[in-house]
Amino acid sequence: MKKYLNKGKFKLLIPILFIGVVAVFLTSHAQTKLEYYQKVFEKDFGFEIYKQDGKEKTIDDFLAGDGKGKHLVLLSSSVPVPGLSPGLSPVILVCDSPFSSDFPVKFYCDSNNASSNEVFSVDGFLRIDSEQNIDLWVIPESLLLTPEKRSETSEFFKAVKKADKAPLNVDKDKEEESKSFLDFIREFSKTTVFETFSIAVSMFFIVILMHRILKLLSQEDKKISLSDIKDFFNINKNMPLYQRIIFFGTICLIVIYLILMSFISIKDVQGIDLGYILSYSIDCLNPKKIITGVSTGGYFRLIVFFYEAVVITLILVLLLPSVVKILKSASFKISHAGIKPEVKKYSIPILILISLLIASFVDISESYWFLMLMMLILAFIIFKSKSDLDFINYSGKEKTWYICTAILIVGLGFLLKVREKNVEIAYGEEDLIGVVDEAVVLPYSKQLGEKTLIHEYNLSGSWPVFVDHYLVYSPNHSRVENKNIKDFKKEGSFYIQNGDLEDIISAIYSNEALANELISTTPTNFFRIKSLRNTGNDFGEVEAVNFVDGEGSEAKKTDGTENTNNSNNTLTNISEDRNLAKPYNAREPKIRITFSCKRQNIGINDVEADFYYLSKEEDGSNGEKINGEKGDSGGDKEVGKNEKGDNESKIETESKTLFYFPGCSKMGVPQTYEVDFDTPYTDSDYLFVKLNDVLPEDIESIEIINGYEIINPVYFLSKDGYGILDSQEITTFPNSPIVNYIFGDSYDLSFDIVLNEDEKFDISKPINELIKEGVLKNRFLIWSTKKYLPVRLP
Amino acid sequence: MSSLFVEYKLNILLILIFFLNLLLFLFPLEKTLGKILKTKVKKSYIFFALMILGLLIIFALAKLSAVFSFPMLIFSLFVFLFGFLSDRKYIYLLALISLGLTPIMLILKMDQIAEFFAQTCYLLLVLGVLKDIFYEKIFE
Repeated sequence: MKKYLNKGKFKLLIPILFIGVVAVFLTSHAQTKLEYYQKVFEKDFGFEIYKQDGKEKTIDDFLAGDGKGKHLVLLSSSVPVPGLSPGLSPVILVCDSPFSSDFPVKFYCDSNNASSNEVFSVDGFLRIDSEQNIDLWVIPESLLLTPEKRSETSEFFKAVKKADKAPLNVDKDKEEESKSFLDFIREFSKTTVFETFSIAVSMFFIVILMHRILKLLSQEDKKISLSDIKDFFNINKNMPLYQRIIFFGTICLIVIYLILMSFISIKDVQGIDLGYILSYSIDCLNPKKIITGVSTGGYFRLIVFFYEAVVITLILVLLLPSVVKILKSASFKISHAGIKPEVKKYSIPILILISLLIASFVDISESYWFLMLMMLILAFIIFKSKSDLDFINYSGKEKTWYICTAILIVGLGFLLKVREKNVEIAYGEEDLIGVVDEAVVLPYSKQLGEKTLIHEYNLSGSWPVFVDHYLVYSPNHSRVENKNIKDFKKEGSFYIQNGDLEDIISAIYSNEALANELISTTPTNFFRIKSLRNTGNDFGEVEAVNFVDGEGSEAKKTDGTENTNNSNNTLTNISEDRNLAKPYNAREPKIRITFSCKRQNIGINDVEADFYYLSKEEDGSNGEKINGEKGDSGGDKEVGKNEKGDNESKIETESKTLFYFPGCSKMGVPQTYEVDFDTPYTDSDYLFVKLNDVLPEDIESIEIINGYEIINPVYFLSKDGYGILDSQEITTFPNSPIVNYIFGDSYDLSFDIVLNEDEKFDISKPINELIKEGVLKNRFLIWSTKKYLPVRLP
Repeated sequence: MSSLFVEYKLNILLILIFFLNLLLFLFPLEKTLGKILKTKVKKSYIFFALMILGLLIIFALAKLSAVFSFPMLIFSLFVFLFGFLSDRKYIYLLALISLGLTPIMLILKMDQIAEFFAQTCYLLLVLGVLKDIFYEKIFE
């Protein structure tokens, strides 16, 4: 040992030892409670944590946007002086002392419990995921102290995170339609055809890369000499100059790349790990990860991506002559291969019979690739025997045999299809909550298998449960009726589901009671105005229009207090000649939007409006006719209408960017913007406008300035995703039925709530009815009016 | 019954195309067609016309997936035929090289590439065996 530790080595070891010891002392220090919880939430619960150290990373840095997406852990005993504020999000508040706040909702917490009237408590903690871009977890410390509690809380964290990821889209058809091309590619990449193709491509490239070595190794009666090996490696001998340059350039780039990757590997995994280098290199080619990296300032991966792209392109350029050579050679071999006559004779009818079998018995949308393969093989054989096709003869017996077999296959296939049509579908069964997680909270996105029903699932509780738009459980009600909105009656207990905006507008047009019910007393992002193009009062005249509804007419003024009682709201039409040419001094209508600025960052760069209006058939076949006309543009007009006209009308939409939105200058101080309001040209009496990506709470007021007249629009309730637009709960008769109204096409599902011995209701019955009726398929959402309602407890 | 025909109209049309193809090869239908059209019609022409029609029906049924699959299947078949018609020594040599590379990749912790080489080795061996058994029975 003494011999080994000679002076030189000793001199080298001492400074290393010294640095190591100093480093250990420098890095280790007493752990604070905050640091402890930061570690717990990061390592035990899988949160991404913003680690504030009070020096380089402070709450101010977090507020300034540092650590985007990471959670800030705060202790209630040391919440910064201004308290919780809009910019402070996402936050995990560990309550180790009594704490109360009015923001974002009123809540109270201490080390033992957390409560709020506005937010549902999930297993003792609060998850405030308010629509105002605030993400707050309020966790009493007691939930984190014992192993049992911590484990249970961890399960609920997982459940809540999963519930947050459940898609809340309303219109599934549109969702299907808007399925991006990338989604299609993703699904297609899992198909047999693609897998076979990828194997074929990789085999082809292996052949291109190894054809020299294969030739060298397969030389018969010739020993491999040193010159052969030299020739093999000296591949640039006969290369043209440009290829030599590319070849050596590529080699240099690869060497530099390997050195660079080795450094990265040493830095990241403390050693040269080829597996890590490979996965890092592949990761750098993933555009999704590159985009994510760039958005968080990770430009290094972008550089590596471009470097890799250059190297791959150069390699492909180098391989191009070999690719062409191999392709030529392969084509030559295939085109010169002769198929034996007896193979031709028997393979053609056999392949046709196999194709018939597949087409008759199997669903073509699933077996299309096999049929195409059969057709390609058949085409190859026919191509190879073009000249001697006429000489292939079949005996009478053979012909009879083939035709009989074909008829038998087709006949049996037909009978099978008839049987399938008549016989009830054999359903399999699966659990409603298919995951193995210990805790599950709603909303829950269920992926349903094909031809599958749901096992018995008993539910109790004091909150209603919906599956997509359908109510499947309601506490305190003896019967549930899911009806279409066209049957809406304002009586008893009811829910009005949110729906596609076009369906909502259509229903508002046809049902006055519903229109009144959906009117919002507070400003929202969805409103109705009288169509400005039809008013003919561009210079401030107040127009009065008579609406004929079959029973009488009602005068109506665009006087700023728009009346929704416009008869039965069936379609009215105004003659086109009333769209007067504007006088030279006509002023363009303007829209004045006052944003409440309750949240500083509304999250939009421009204010986009979707216009909805009724469009009518122009050929006059809809039966619209003008009954009479009195006065001029400013005078009264009597407009005819009938039901047919209604049926043939449809909701048209148009989108426009109203203005670029610079944001709110100060939080809580309303900000007003006034811009030109260029509405679409329409004959429709009303124009519905929805401001996109703006929350109803963001709107303080909206005014339309038309000449010298200010029009206040009629606001309607608005919501995104699954939810209840409006409801009425009659609590005086608890055992009365509840009606759930659905917009658009819907299935009338009614059932009695019959509780079993355990006072629970089996929701699988209504769900299975919806599945059998084809209402629920593939993926559906199970949700409740209370977010994070637990349906499985640890 | 009529609803069944409506529902499966494209499938019925496809079955009809295959059936016509079968009749085309069993009987001299091209001569009858030639007489009607008053021109010489070859069997292969009618076959390819029917096949194109069949392909269009499949495209209509399976939509974009079929459109994407078609060139991929052509290439896969091309590579298979190329392998099948190649010298068997190359196939077995390549299988051996793949076999040798598999443990090397495993040692280098490149598991996915090792799996790929193992798959390649297996497929090449299958191809070699298929060639040994069927080549002389199929090709001249």
